[in-house]
Amino acid sequence: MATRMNQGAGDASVTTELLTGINFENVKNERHSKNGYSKMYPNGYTKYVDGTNCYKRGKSYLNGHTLTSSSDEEHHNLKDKYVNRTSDNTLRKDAKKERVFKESFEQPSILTALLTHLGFYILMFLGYLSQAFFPPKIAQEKNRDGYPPLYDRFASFYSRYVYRRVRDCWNYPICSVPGAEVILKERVTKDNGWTFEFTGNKRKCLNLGSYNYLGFAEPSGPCAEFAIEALHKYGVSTGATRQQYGTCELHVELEKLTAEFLGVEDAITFGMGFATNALNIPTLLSPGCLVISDEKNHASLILGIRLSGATVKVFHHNDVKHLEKLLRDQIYYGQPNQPKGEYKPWKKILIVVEGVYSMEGTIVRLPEIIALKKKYKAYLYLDEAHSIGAIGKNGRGVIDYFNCDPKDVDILMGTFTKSFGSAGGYIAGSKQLITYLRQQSYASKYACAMSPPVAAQIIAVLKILMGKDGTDTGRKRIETLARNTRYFRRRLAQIGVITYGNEDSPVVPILAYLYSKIAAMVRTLIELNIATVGVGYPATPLMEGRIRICLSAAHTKEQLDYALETISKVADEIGLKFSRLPKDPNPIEYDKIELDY
Amino acid sequence: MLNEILQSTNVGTVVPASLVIFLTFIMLRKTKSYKKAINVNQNDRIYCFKPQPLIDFTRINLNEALEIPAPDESDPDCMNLAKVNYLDLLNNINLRKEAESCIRIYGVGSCGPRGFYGTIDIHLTLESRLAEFMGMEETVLYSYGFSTISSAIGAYCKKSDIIFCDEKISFCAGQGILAAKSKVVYFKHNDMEDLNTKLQEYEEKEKQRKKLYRKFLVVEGIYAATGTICPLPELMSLRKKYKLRIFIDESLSFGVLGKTGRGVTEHFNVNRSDIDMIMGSLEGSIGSIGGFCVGASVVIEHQRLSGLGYCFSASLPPFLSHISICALDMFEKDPSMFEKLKSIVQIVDERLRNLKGIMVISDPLSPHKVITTTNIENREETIKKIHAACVQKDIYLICLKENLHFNLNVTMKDADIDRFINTLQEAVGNILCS
Repeated sequence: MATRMNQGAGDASVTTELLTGINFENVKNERHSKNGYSKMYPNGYTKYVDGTNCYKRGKSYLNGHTLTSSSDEEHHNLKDKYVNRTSDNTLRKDAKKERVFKESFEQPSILTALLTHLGFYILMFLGYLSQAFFPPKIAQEKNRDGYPPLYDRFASFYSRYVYRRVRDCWNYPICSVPGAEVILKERVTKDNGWTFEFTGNKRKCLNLGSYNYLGFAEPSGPCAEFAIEALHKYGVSTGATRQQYGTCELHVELEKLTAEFLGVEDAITFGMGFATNALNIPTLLSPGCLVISDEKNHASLILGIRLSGATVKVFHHNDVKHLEKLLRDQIYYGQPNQPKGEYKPWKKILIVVEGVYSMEGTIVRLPEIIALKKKYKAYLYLDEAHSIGAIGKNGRGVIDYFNCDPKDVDILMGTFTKSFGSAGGYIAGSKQLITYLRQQSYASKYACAMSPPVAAQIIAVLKILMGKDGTDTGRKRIETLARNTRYFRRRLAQIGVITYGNEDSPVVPILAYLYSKIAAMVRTLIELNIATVGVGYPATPLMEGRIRICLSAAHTKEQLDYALETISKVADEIGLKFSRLPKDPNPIEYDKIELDY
Repeated sequence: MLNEILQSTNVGTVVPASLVIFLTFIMLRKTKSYKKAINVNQNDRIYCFKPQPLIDFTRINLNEALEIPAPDESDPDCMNLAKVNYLDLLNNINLRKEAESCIRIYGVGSCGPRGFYGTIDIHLTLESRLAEFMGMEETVLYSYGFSTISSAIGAYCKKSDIIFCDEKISFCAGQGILAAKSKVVYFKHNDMEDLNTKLQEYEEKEKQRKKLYRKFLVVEGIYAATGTICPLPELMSLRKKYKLRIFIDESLSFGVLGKTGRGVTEHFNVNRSDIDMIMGSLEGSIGSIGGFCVGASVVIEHQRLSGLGYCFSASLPPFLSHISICALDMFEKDPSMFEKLKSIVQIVDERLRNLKGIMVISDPLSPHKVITTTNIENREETIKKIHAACVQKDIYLICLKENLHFNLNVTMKDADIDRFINTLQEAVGNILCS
């Protein structure tokens, strides 16, 4: 199941020309530090303790705002912990001044890499064999003789003979609210994934798959009650577009609250999160504009950019140096293919990033990007689909997390699907921007307004998060999620699986590499009553197949412990403990986890 | 003389030598232009870079209302013809109760895309019910009407393909075509001769390149822009002749046209298996939110991996799916409502056509009516004035540039129709006289 579209698709020219000169050396260094770790510490922890030399070398990579392979930082901390405990306090103090950015991208051993490639080729080969001997059982096109085929050969081969073998790992139907626990509707396939049958059984699983970060997906309680009230008052739909008689009081209230929550002047909301990106970016850009987009951006952003007709350049994931280099080069060279080599500057430059990346579990390096944006007079579009509500002291997303000024981000976008347990999306920003969008946005002109009960659910959640309901439930949920996240990630590191991303990100990818291991892991975990999501090629690079876990404030410590024990057991069986980083020998205590706000 | 020179110089050395000279010349030229570009200091350029403002201020018109709020329908005099409510399912109390019971089981949102535990059993039920209702093999469900049409077109049409498309096609289909990057050929609105000549053109081209193009035909059942119905029988014969794949956008016609509400295919009695895909919206007569595509499973299955709005978006909230199922139940149980709607539509259409100064653009059978003035001068302003006069009398219509759009519904009684027509006549009369 793909969750990310290849940016190269479409003909937005995404070649990142690496020109000679400017800053390139640094970029190279970082790449090296990112990948070179395994070479430096082949045995991880043990070698490091008696060799301070390695430690020093590791430190030299931490130059400025580089893309840290955090493993360096981890060493830094570990050294203080186990070797020189006295300096622990001073380090903490330093950490408080500027948020320590702990992000990990450990590389697997060469053997794993080889096996992954080999496994994939075997899978493809077997696919071709089975295509030759067992023609597809699904219905062929009827009475379309003489028509050119509807699909490309490779695409249909891939979905029939490669994806089909693991098809049972996705699209699992549920028949309950997707809360901390979810009830799966059991199904079996008798013909290797061509068709499924329901067994009639139901299986209650711990839900580590849904985007229910704050646990507001609830069938009862104040939010559901408020939604039901709105349902009876306004109906399920206003039956019209926002511009033409489709705006009801709830929409107005919701937009006011959203703006207040985010600390900006105004906000506008839409009925679908995907459409918010796809239909609003085109109104802001035109041909002659440049978009600099993160390589891991979501499909909706890429679609919006493609529809706008602007030129796209892609920077390495969360790599601020590369972003700066692109900005410098692009401002310098201007629009390409001008007559007589004339210099024609870009009309405007828009940097498009996400808050928390849903597949990588990384958090955007917002302070550095804001600095760059100011320096190079670019505009910033921040998609907070996964971060709004989920991180930050007050749940206000990455801006809150880094203590940045919301006014420094030109366009704040987010969705209500995830933390809010509802649907839809918003764009927030200056009064002028929102007024412009109200008039020009394709979504408010042509698409149906948000459903009133959906809006009511969001309003109720926003009020809880802002403490307007007179309780501290909102704050407690945010803290529980933050604690769950750190606890879970630390315990996973102890277990010895490779996880990606920031230590504060509730999205936790566990690397499985091999295609078959992803499927085996998902299947075994469902057998053991844990629902997780597997992602493989082509949604991720071939070398980065993974299991993804989304944590929630609704998860209790006991549930997390069960999940961790099970994952540890299954990872042993399947062989997922790839990590060669030193492990923290001390037990991790849930209640003592510090939350540095 | 020439011979001597040729003999003295070896051809084997001349050729590479000239090549070397030629290459160095090119290289020198390149470095020269490169140096020329570098004359300007990079920092200067960055310093001098003045981007345009993020938004185009000239396009903001503060004199016009940004959003028109929904009128208060608790007022008995209020006649809201702006909203799409053909079968009055938006105000149905039973459906609201059904939605409530659904929220009490499943919550409001689905918290995930279809692939990642966002597939709720209600979605599967609705998909099979829609397929069954339309008598086709498979349905795929989207969470927003707009994204349905744009994603579905983008899933099939690739760069080397050709899309034949009516010039009055809806904006959302236009976005889908834009995303697909295929070659688009627009034909005149409902003009079959124009389409035929354009198809012939491409048939010639196909003969020249000796390879068939993958050709798509995208039309709407009832056009949102004009309220006209597509001439489906003629389109079907062209489809057969030129081997087109036909996609019909039935956002407005589903649950409206035909004896049992199965849309434009039933209206013209066309065999649905000849249609490659029907795209519908749940925002039309069903009175929910969302959209669907229905067709043969070979075709539709593809969208589960390639429909962008399907794969990458959270699934439809369960209660919206559930009331769609309830609405389908009602369609099947009581098909007389379609007849009732049809008779109201026909009555209103007849009376509109008798009005002086008004020109009806839409089809007599379409509940989505589009009218304009017979007077060509100052059309936009006249329409605005008529719209304002109707609003004063508590009748709400949609005013879009040179046309007035409105949606009829089954609740309209004879007295309502009288009141509406009289108001319209009065407004038109006043404006034309003054």
